[in-house]
Amino acid sequence: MSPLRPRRTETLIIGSGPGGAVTGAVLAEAGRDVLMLEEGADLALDAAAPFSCDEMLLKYRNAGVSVALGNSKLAWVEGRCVGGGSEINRGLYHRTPEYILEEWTRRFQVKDLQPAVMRPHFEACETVARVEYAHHRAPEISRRLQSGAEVHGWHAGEAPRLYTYSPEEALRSSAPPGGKQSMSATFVPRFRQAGGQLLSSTRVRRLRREGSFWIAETEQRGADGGCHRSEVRADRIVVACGAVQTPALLRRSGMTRNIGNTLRFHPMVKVVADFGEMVNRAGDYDPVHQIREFEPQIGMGCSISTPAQLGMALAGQKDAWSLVREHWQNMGLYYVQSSGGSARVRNVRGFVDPMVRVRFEEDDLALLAVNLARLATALFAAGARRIYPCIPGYPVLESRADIASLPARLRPADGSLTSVHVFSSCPMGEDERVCAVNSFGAMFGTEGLYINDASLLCTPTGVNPQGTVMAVARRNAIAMLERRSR
Amino acid sequence: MVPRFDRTVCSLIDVLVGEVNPEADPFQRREVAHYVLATVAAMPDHFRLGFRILGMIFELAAIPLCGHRFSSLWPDDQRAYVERWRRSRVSVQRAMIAFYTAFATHGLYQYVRTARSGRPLAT
Ligand SMILES: Cc1cc2nc3c(=O)[nH]c(=O)nc-3n(C[C@H](O)[C@H](O)[C@H](O)COP(=O)(O)OP(=O)(O)OC[C@H]3O[C@@H](n4cnc5c(N)ncnc54)[C@H](O)[C@@H]3O)c2cc1C
Repeated sequence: MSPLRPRRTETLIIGSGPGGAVTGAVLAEAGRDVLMLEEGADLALDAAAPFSCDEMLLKYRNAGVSVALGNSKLAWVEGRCVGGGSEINRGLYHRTPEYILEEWTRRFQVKDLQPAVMRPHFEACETVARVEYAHHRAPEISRRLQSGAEVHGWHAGEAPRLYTYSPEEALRSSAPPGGKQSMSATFVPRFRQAGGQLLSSTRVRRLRREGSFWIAETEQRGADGGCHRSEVRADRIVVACGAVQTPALLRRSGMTRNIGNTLRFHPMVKVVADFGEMVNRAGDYDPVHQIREFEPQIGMGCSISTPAQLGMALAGQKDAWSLVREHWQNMGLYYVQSSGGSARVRNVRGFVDPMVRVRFEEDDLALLAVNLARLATALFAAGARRIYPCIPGYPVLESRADIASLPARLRPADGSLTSVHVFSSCPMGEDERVCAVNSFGAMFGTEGLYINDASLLCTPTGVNPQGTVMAVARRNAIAMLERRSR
Repeated sequence: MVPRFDRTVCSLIDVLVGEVNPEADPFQRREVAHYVLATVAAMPDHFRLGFRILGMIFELAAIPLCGHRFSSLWPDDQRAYVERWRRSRVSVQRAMIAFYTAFATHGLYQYVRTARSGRPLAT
């Protein structure tokens, strides 16, 4: 890694997650002079086992400890490495539902967001980061969710993943061979091949305007642990630090209008189902089935169910260690998620990391409780013998009849809400009363400053968001090229 | 010399690991403690400050109750003291024990299994 000396570039992209990586590839392939800075390290996909402690220390922001405080706590996680969240996620993939695009157009006055306009962007992203179904390779814990939903006549199905299951097939095409289609395996190499430069372990502390330029004040961590400060001068800056860090950086730089006031999540609660027979094997592919009957308010699915994940989920249970050791192969971890709660991102003087304050309404917690019961119903229908809600103080469910004993709403003090999806902190659109940037990510009231990441999504997507982040980023990057800058 | 905060966390992790899996050996317990300490070192700075202060209170509040700092108590007394915090009516005390329990458990599954059988329980 070469140290960053004061330098000049036409376009500076901050962040190499799906938003930044797609933007970088589009601009570099169009022949632009682009520099990308990434706070995290540049690591191989297999630098640590997926979902392990080592991976959390290496690739997660704050080692996986981010908690929003408020009338109910919520813990969330983000990536911090080249490729951002795409390096640590499962890559479950959906195009944005049409009703979500329509809602954003109507409520936020976003231009050019019709399904027909977005389709080519999804298609183009899917040819670089390939999307496949697991089909017969889906693990049994995943299929059980589908069969439970079918008993009740609920709409459920397999979500495709940003993953190539069949290396031979990938080799025949021009796509990279088998495995995870994260940004470090797809858009980042394209960006580099097209002449884009990427500097990792380099954090942007603050932005400022000097004449017609933007200046990014940077801090680069050396191999010796020391910090080297420098500056980058750019005609145009694209901020793609993710939905929490983007507003934090902009607010540190004095930009606050509709920035960081509306961070949203997909808050979830989990249960462990014990099926009394083998459903979970070492080396299984990641689970992929989802119950879609209750979208957009509610999604349900199957989580990674390694012994470590099961152990964490059952940490409140008596004899959890022997329970997991004896029974993990009979167990699966399942979630129900809503789109409730809204949060503010704020910097606090004297601290580097931003603080997030979240607020849930009573209805948000009631909705999750009702659907936790529905999930348990589906799992019993799928053959579960016992269900352990991962909420302190909740009873173990031995039969369907026990579901009635679940509280009607989650208690705010439960502290059991988590999320892996964050978005909507700087919404896009033409309605300047609520939006931070215009329909294509250009910041209102200034020149040459853009946002192009999950912050832009006007509301929760109801489905896994990375497909939306990538397609919106591509659409906006092309708009930047067509209009040069605003 | 092991800094005071690290010593408090190592003693606490020792108790928590012992509750979950009494068979874990000292080497494995140390591995888990290192993982948890690395996590605390990487957590958001405002939480880290809070955790350090809370850790100090946890260590010193044992003196009036048990006659010694937490990390100098006998194992049985350490266990009783942790249990007292776990059942406290003060939510921040419960939250602290819940945090360390969750991360100690995560570490246990990776490091204890790896050390014992040469590979994790399942990957
Ligand atoms: C565990 C997990 C599982 C998930 N599962 C799925 C899934 O199955 N399907 C799905 O669709 N989505 C999933 N997601 C969500 C998905 O990963 C995100 O929506 C997506 O990564 C958001 O992209 P982004 O570009 O907005 O931000 P990020 O991916 O967060 O990237 C932002 C990057 O910017 C860097 N950065 C931040 N601040 C600075 C700074 N000041 N200077 C320099 N660099 C900076 C960060 O280090 C990071 O690498 C998951 C996320 C996680 C964490």
